[in-house]
Amino acid sequence: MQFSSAGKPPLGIVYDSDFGMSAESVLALALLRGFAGKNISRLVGISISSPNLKAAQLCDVVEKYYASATTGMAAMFFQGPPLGLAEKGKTADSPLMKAVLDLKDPDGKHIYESRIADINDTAVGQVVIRNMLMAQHAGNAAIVSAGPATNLAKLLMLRGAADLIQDKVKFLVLTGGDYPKGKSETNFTADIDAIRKVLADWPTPIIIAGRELGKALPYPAESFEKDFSYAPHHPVADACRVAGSSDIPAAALAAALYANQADAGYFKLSDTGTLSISEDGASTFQPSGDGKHRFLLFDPEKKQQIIEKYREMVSAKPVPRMLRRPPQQNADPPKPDPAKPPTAEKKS
Amino acid sequence: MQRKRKDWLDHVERPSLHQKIWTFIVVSALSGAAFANDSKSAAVKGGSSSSGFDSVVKPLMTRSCVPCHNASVASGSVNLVPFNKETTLAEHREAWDRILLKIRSGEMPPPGSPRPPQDKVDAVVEYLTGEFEKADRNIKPDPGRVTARRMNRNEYSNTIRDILGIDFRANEDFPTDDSGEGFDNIADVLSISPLLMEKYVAAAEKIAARAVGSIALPKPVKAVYEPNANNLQRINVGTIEADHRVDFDGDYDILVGMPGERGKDAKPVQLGFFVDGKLVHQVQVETKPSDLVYFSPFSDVTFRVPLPEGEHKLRVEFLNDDFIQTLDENEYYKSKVNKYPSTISITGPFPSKLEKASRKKIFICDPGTGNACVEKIVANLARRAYRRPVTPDETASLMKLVALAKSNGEDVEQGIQLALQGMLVSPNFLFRIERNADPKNPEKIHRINDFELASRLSYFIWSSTPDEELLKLAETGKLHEDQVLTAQVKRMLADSRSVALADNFAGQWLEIRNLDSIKPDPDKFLSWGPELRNAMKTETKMFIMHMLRENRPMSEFLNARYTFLNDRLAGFYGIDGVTGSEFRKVDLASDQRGGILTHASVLTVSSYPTRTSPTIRGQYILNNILGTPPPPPPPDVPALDASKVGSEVSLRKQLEEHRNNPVCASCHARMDVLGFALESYNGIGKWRTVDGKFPIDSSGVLPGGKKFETANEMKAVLLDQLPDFSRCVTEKMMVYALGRGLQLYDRPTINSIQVKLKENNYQFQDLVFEIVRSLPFHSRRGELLSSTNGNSKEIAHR
Amino acid sequence: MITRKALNRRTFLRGTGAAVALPFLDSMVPAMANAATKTERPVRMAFLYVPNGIDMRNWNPDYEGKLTHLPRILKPLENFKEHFNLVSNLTHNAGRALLDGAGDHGRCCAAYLTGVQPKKTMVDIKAGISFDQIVANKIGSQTRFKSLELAMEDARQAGDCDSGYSCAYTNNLAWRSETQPLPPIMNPRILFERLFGEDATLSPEARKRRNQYRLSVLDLVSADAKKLTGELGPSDKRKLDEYLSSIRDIELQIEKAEKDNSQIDPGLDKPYGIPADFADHFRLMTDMMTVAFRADLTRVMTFLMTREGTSRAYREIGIPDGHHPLTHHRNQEDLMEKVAQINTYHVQQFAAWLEKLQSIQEGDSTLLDNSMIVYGAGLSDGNRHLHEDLPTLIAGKGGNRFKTGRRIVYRRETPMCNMFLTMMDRMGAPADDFGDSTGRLEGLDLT
Repeated sequence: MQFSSAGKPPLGIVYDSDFGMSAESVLALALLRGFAGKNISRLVGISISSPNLKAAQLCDVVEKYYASATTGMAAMFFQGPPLGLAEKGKTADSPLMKAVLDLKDPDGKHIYESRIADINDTAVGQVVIRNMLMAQHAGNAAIVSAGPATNLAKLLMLRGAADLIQDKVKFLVLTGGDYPKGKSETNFTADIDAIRKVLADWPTPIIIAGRELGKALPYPAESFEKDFSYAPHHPVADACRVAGSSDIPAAALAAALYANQADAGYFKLSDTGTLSISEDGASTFQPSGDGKHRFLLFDPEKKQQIIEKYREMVSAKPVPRMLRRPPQQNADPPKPDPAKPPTAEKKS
Repeated sequence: MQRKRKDWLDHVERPSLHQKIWTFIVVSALSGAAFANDSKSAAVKGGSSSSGFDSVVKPLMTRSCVPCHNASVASGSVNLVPFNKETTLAEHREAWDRILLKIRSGEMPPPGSPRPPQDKVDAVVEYLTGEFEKADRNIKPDPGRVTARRMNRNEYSNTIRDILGIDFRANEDFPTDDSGEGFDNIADVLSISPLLMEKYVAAAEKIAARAVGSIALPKPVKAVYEPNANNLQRINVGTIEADHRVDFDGDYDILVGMPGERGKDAKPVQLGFFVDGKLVHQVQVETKPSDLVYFSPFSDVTFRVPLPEGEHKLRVEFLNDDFIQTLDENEYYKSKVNKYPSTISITGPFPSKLEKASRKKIFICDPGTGNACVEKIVANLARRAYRRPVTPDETASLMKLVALAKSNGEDVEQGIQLALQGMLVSPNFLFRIERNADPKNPEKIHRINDFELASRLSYFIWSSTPDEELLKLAETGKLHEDQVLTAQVKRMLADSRSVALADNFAGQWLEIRNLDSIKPDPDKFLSWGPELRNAMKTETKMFIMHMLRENRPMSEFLNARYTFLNDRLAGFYGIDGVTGSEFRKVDLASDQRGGILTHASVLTVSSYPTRTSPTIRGQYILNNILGTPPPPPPPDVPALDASKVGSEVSLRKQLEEHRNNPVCASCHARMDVLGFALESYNGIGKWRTVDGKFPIDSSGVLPGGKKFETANEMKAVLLDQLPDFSRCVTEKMMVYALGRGLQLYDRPTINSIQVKLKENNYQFQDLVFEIVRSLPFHSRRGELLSSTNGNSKEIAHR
Repeated sequence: MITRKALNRRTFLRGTGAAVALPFLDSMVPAMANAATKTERPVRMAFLYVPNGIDMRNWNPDYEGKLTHLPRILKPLENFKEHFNLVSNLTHNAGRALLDGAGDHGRCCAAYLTGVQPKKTMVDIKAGISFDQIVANKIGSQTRFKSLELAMEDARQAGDCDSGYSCAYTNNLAWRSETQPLPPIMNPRILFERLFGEDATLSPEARKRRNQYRLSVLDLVSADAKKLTGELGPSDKRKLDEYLSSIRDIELQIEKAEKDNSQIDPGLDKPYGIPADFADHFRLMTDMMTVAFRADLTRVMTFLMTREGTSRAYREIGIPDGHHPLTHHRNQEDLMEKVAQINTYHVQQFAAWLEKLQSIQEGDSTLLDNSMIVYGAGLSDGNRHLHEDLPTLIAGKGGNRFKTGRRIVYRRETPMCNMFLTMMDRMGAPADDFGDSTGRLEGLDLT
């Protein structure tokens, strides 16, 4: 007799960003890897909204670093899907990319080698997202977007994608704007039509991590000198150091943290409403009962706790992934999984 | 540079690993939130309420299962955390069935992890078993429904044979039927393609013409089969075979050419001519030198035999020719020493003298006498074709075809032929359609009518159409009465047509049919050949029919002290005292053989072409004997290096190594051990004591600790699980009898059948009776005229 | 009395095999008339499917662009380098487990032409209409047969086919509807009879009468069926609908045959039985497929070389082990070597067919130029059951539209369905999207 459906694993997260254009985009990836290593979530797909091969190469180097801990049969199974890369145009190489990709050892050998040689080693952004979402259980996926909404807008244009998102994606967290009013914002200006389409047509709740939140919860620069000493070379540290000695405003980290532990109470949530973007990329949040958007709000009491969580996860050592854990290693009962749907989700 | 390709397992929520079993685990029904709370409670409180579940099951689950099967680890993508409430027994019964199975068989907890004390385990098994029995008693009985079923190829051929006496081989002309649940008579899978429809139309035309005998025979043609055209197979010095297709029913002249001559006083031999294994003609052949002076001696013999249309295996054999025994191999083909058959030529067709059986069946009166008779003939044919009485309208529309032929200036017989052609394409013939008793209330559960019952019976037991007696009883409305039904089933089983159960049910259940496609490596298995293959088939077939007709206890499937052999197979088995090519029941002295698991047929279909596979044989036992199919292997399953087997490392050694891998262990610990017990039989089932240079070791220990040294002791272990075997056979025969997959609501039926079988020592024939008497066999639920089958993921794909 | 030398497959094949070049095909003048008179030659499409993946190390060249040195498995195509494109990185996401776990063989075969993830079931099978059938429905009315489905290996007789997937998923390539796979013909005699009629002997009058009878019989039975459907539930009705739509197809076929009742001389004797030797069998099948294209009997063919998960052994080339077990080689050289040999052997057969297609002139081009012959598999690495970078080769210029002789690498995850969309355009059956397509496949065309 045949019956169907299997156990539900932790939340599957897709990370879409202008990777490498800013330190926060790199930090957010590190944080997501940290949570994945603890089995609190799974990073199931990465797409890059800045059309630049170097961005993909930098991202590949970081991913390669986190995969390095996994060996043997598992290594073969657990290599990620191709990186998604936005299709047209080309953005300038950023200092971060150079800092890592051009880094050489004393004998002039590159320290980091990307496996990506040309554009054909990457995939179309929206296709990766679509395919990865198809492999998730209903309501068991979330999307973190820290950059132009190009890939997400294209995703919405694929046939059946709206239904797919409705079925699989619990919520979308994106960075940009300020609460309740924000001035011109590169994530928006880079692709105004895209962000407008996403805000208008995205079928499930959208949570926004604004710039002011990023500023209020910056990532401490000292971390790069203290927390990463376990590795002689750590691509995340090497990349972020170029951002200078000042702490790094990181809305992307807030977004990624929320996606992992929505109900851990790190943030307050604004009322529902609707975010609208003007031609110049300025944003306005209009509260309304039936709005699908909410902002993450800064809670001073949580600041210390959040910064510590940031550091713990961003600097977490790569964890070897196992096909199947030998029983004896898990004699102790599992920690409860705190992932709970955000209140906002109830309405959809 | 060559790109490395990557697999995505973790991203696709680690599928393949042991998923099949675990696809049973219905967890996604529970919300993500539920997980958290459940796992907390599972971890914290041990068992607060006093229910058996909380005191017996939960502690063991929490201690021994949940550590590996939880939200964050989910070994084999199984999360057992939510299974911590008594209520889940009902909510996730299928999952619980699997859990019970795993615990009972000792597969879980897997080797290497702390084992709970046995008494705790037994307590859990006892508790769960009891709960499920209670639960099953409360399942609302529902016969389910079978979709309109078209005949498959075997059923079509048999039906044509039985209503018209025409030998038509659908499997030569129709596309192969797809199968599901391991059988090719599953209604939902049997579809009609334009190709098949084309074949139906052409076949109807051909069959009707053959039946009426209106086909004008073409000029006779001669076909020659001779060694140097290499279209002839030499079986041995005294036997040759040829594959020949006959395009028209008719008589054919067979000429057999025989070179050589024997000694002056050589005795004549009997030459036998076989068609598809049946001896159809016998003639005496002179072997001593003829007076004629030949440079190379040669003689031939000619005789005329009737052959039906179709592809035939023709065989010429010198019957029990003792002279050969006196010869030395190198003398066989010396023309001055021996005479032997070497060519066959067939010339024909020539019109047959004897009237065709089909005409007798069709022309029950003389159509020359007028329309009344013609209508009678047409109505009678339609009744047989549609397996029920026909309405005047139906006869009338068929008569239109008769008229059409007439209007084309053809005679009445050709008119009847055209009407018959129409019937053979009608959905009423091609499909078995069961009607809703009460159109106003289609979903009502109702008994099928006696005609539908007659068809269910005949296609179940005969793979063919109901005969006159069944139809008559249906007409009188008595068929469903218990004594009548019982008497009929007895009669049907005794009838030769019931061999269909061996061919079609057992042939698929035991995978014997695969003998035709499987191709053992002739270099490795010298004795393999069509002869042996057919002998293997016959042994199992006769064994099944014996079990069935003599109503033997099912335990004999595993440990019968007898089997069915001819000289060829007995020789292969190393059993003396069996001479002659006909099969007979043989009592087994040694315990090398006994039961189907030691039939060469079974041992061959469960091997690779080049070697045995304990894994496949073990899986075969789990699938077909115990009814506990193992999950499929993960991709990149470590395959064996066949070339090394038997030479560098023993197969056993290799498999044991791969069982050290925990991923593989949990299943292979069971599968391989069962399979190893059969290692004393090689890839085509021949007894052996060494594999390559390694002595055979067929001992093993099953999870749970049962030990055995030999195949026989392993069979004994299986016998302890006779109830599981009985349930497995019951479920398979149920699927076959109903033509649909089984559902939850079939459990009570299966269970009650088990109870009845147990009372009477699990006798095989009783099973047939129990199925025939069961609710799903004699009743059905109709269907509302609106469909609801949704594929949730579909939107994403299309 | 006429004497027919009993058939001897080898000589028989030698006869036609070589003869398949121009001579005998030119003997088919009447049949070709309709094809020949057209100024625009019809474009034909065929799929050759090979199971269990391919040894990608020996399939993908280490360069892009113009085909120069060919990898080992493609070597047999050396003479056709100019006539095909090798396409890399096409992916069938629908073949992946997604949420359905094991069964990649069952899934990849069912998804291959349908672009849909098949329902995991042993009984109530469900996939999608395959794109070749969409094409057939659109243009089929112009040829005697909408499409032909062919195979070399008989459907599996007993047992489970792949991890809970019905055998219907691995026995068939083409799907007429989401619930109805189209069974392929694997017996050369049956293919012969289907293409060239079971009764070449019949006089025109006799054939006319037979068709008249057939049509009236079909009228009668479709009336029966319609009467029934009224009284039945959806699933029974579905079966009857299959029945009725098949009847309609045959009525059309007969009407076509009525209009153009030119008997096609296939130029070969009716074959009997199924050759034991793989190459013989393949040659016999492709001989007739060539005639079918040449005489414009159909423009759409799908050919399942052997079944996914098949354990067929290739003694023809000294490989006694089953194909599928071999492909789970876990990178053992000796096993991978055998897989590569089997892959190469298959391509050799394919090359022999291309040679025939290329040898047939159609005006100033060849039959191959006017065709799109896809050679491909539903898995790339059979060892790990990968569904990306599916080995795909398109021979022919699709009616002098394609620029051939290149290896074209697309971005990873490019849906295979994009290629189908492009082919549908060529076949004159354009569609907005199919399966999980995200657009057309750019860069195949001449300009």
